Amino acid sequence: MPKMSTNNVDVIKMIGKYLDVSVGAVCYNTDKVPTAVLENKNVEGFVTIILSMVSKCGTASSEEQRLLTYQWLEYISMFSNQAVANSTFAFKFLQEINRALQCNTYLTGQFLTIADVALYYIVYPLLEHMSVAERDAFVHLCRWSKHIQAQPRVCNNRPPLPLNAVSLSVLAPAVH
Amino acid sequence: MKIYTNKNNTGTLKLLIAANLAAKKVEIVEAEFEDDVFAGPRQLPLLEVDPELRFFSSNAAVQYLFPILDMSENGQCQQLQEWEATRLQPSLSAALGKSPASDVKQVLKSSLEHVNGLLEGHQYVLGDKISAADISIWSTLYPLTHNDDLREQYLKELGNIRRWSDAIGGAKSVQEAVRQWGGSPTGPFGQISALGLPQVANLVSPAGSPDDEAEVQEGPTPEEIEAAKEGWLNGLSKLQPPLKQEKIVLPVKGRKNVLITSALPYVNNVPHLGNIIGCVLSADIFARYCRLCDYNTLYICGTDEYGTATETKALEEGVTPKQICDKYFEIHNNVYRWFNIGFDYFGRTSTEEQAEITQRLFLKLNENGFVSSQTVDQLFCEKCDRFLADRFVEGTCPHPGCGYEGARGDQCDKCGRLVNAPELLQPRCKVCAHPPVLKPSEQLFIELGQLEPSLRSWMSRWEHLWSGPARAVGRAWLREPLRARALTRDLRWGVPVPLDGYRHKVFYVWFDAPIGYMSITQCATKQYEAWWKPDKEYDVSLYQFMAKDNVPFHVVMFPATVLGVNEGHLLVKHLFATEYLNYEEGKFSKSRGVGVFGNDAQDTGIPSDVWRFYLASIRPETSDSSFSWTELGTRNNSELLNNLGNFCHRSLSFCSNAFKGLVPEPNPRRSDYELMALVNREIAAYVQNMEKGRLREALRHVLSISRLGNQHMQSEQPWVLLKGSEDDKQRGATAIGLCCQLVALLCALLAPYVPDTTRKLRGQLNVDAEKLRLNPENPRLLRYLPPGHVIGKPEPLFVKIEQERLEELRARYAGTQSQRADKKNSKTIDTAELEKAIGEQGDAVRKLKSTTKDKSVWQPEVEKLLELKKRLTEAQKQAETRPAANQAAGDVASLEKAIAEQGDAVRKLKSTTKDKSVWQPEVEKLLELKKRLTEAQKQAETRPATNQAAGDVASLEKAIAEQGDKVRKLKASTKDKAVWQPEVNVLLDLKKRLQALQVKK
Repeated sequence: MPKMSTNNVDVIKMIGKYLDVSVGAVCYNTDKVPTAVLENKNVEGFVTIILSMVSKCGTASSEEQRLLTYQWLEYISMFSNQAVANSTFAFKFLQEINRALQCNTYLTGQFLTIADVALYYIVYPLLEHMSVAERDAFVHLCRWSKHIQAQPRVCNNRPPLPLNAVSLSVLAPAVH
Repeated sequence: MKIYTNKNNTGTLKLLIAANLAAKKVEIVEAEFEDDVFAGPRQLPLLEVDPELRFFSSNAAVQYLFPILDMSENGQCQQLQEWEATRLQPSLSAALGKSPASDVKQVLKSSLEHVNGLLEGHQYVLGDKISAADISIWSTLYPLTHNDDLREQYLKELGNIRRWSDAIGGAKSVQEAVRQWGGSPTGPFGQISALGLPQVANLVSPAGSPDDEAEVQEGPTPEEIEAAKEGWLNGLSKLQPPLKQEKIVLPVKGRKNVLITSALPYVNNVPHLGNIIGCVLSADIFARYCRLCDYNTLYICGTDEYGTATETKALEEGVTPKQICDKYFEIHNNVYRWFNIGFDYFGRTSTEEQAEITQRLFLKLNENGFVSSQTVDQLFCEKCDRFLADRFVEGTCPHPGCGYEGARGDQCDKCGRLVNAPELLQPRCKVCAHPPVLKPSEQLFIELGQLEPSLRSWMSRWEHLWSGPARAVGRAWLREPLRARALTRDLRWGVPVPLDGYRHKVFYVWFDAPIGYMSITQCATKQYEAWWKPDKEYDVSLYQFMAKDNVPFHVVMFPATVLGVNEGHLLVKHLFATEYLNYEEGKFSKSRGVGVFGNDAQDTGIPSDVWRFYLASIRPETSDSSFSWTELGTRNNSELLNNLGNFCHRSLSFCSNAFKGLVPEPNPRRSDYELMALVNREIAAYVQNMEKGRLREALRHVLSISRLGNQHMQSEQPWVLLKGSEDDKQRGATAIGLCCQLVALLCALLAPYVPDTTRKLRGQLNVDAEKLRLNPENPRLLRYLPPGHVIGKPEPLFVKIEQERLEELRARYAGTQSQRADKKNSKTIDTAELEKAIGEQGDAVRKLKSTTKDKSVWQPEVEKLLELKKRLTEAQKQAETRPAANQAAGDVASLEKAIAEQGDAVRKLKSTTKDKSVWQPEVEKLLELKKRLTEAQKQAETRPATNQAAGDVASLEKAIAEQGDKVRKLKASTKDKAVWQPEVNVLLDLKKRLQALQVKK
């Protein structure tokens, strides 16, 4: 069984697998900031670790793209802990993201970035525990999740979320 | 490039410094989280490079504006920015907030030491070149480095930060940026994210919620204290001259004239709490506020009466639409009166004035070329000789798999899907059951498309004054091109179309309902054009209140009509729409009867002021909110009773006991003026929020004043001071005097919310309403109570609501109205009610038989009648065999009701006919009922509820609860002991028996 909730350190580990980069031991330092050792250097902070791993992979991206990725990772880093711990807050958090995905294929626009993958790992347990009716409030997020989990290597050994029911409920609304 | 930002946001300072250092031009645009500028997460500032490229993270924006040249430092700079966003900024905001926890301060201190360490031996945080990280950290620390007290508190030993901060602050481009920013280092600071402050990970106590953060405030400034002193000494004399109240309110030159409307409630049902807070109550609170400020105010509303729904309902109840309207108009009127809604005029739309104005506007619209005609195929009943509106057709649901035979022309009640009337299988006329035919009918349309340009320019000019929900709905409507919309329909109940070829048609209710505002003004003033087509020299503004669902009519359809008429009519200026109110996590529903309705609120025995206060405090201003019984109790007990009620009562009681009611003359010191300055902040916020229609926010600030008062009382401890030295006594007297003045202020500010209570409070304060006014231009604490003023007798203002009572109410109002009614019926059904039902059913059968000879149509109804009669016989038999059991159980009330109804019936019959043979049977029934009532009363008195001796504990408990209610109600309505004593005795007796029973068990 997969774990019920995902903290930032888990996400970093999963992204390491996704990118096929060895992250070594990732842990929280005394200030509860995720810390990893990459190339014998101490790297601190959720965003910084993920971006360092990406640059280690050697994927080139434009400066703009990098900043857009940064701002999404920063947003996740600011609020994901709270969303995992508190379901009311999670609802608001997901609403904000759902809004962002209304007009975009991916978080930063037309291209898949590591921010999409990281967010998918955060959102997975939250969506997993929702009923079909609850998911209806987040149609764009669900559409996006379906899309992300169809990407190679995202799912690892976790089953993809069963999101088909959402579109079903849109096409064939329940009897009132 | 544009920067969208709220006020005093240190994130914006980052962007401006970066832009200045990089010599890039930016434009600042004011925005709030409710605004429709966000394509992603709602964070401010938002940097828009172009519509495709936006940065909602100020750190990303800084990097974009001020790119780092040395790529090797890239990782470090980003790491610091992430640290700034997730640790430094949140801990700083929390530490500067009100009453920060000590661990927050600790986190901030260690963060600052970290920065100080980075600067050791370096000019900047990452070495000797300025970087984006410097900009971010410097801006975030601005409130700390530019406030003497905080600098002393946090940076005393951190010399590197002070040096670094001063060096950056000394740069010309940074100074220019700070000037552009225009913020204040003392706050309050603009929120960065709609999600509030991020929590600092390892803290024990979470950082403040968004609400708390908005209250990040410092003590009063010397200017504020000076202003408070001035207001205290001279404010009263600078108050505007009072407005003379005329009998008929018309605009006054040189005054602010405010015309307030609340959405016209549709007449065919009883309004629920959501409707009440959405329109009439919100508008009433605002209108009362306007009068408090001496704005010349006219508040009108009325019932919206035309349309199919009324006609259908009339058909169901077997009366004319007019009768339906009369009946429900009374219901609405009574509900609103109970809620103390102070309309200047509560009218209705089925008036001659309405027809006249609607027709005139329509003709003008037609003359201006905005009306066209189209042919539409509609179902026509040849037998009734009329076109059938959707709701007048019934048939078999066309959706595969459903096949429900009673589907309506607009929707199938079984499968819930929408239906197109002509698609119904085997359609039949709802009135005569004859199958209708499809027939073309010519209808008039308004060409909204042609009016769209003028509508757009009007909307873009005014929408900034509307509430968030209103703006959002308006914009959504204009996202797609507007299409022509039908103006007329083939009905009878409505305003007739004054055009040849269409005279047998009426206007669609969406067209004429908003014109109701004009016609109702006409009914109220006889000169509606004085308000609706005001002279240029008059300052007249229209404020409209409604729930979200009504917005399209008020921002698209009605303005389009008015613009098309082009006669300079008044258009809405401030449109205050609310989101929806939910009921205990579900939805209020008029059609299904879920939730608490206007008349229910009345039956709970909770005063209308408590309802008003609670509804205002959960007003769905920015998002949906929920009604909950528990919260109603909490608000009453903690805010009204403990905070407000306590403060008022304590202050006045002190004055009454220690000074014989003579309000002591305060001799304010600096600390007192500081208190006044803090109070003035709240008053200013109250006025600001009120003017923007944020009634819930405004109320919060009133409560803050009373909280400040309580704190003052607590810290001054006048009860101790009054026993001390002369100087102490003087201080104690000042405290009491000041508190009494605060009570007077609260009495003024609360008047819009709780009119009954403030009337009582004014009595206790011994002041008139016109003394307690507000200067909206310069709102501040005034000396409302003049020197030598003597107050009246202080009394508690609020009553505690017990938890059990709330549980009881929650249970009582669970489910739908019909479920509740069933519950009641199954218990109390008696012969009188059955007889009534039989009478009604008999009428229905007679009517049906007279309209059709088709047995299949009336047979079911006849069977229902027979069934009812059978039940009556049974019930009568039962009643005879055990009359006492049936009636002593409190059937007195239902008998009384039956008598009242029967009496009405008799009176009506007598007025319509002189034929004694017709009404004699009814009169006899009435006499019989009266006889039974006398018997029942006798029984009830001589052996109160003997039949219950056999009953169990549960039924006794229920009887006690009911009796308790009755007693409370009686006591509330009268002080005459003789009236309520017998009921109290019954209650005591019941309790005794319950005890006995419990002991036995």
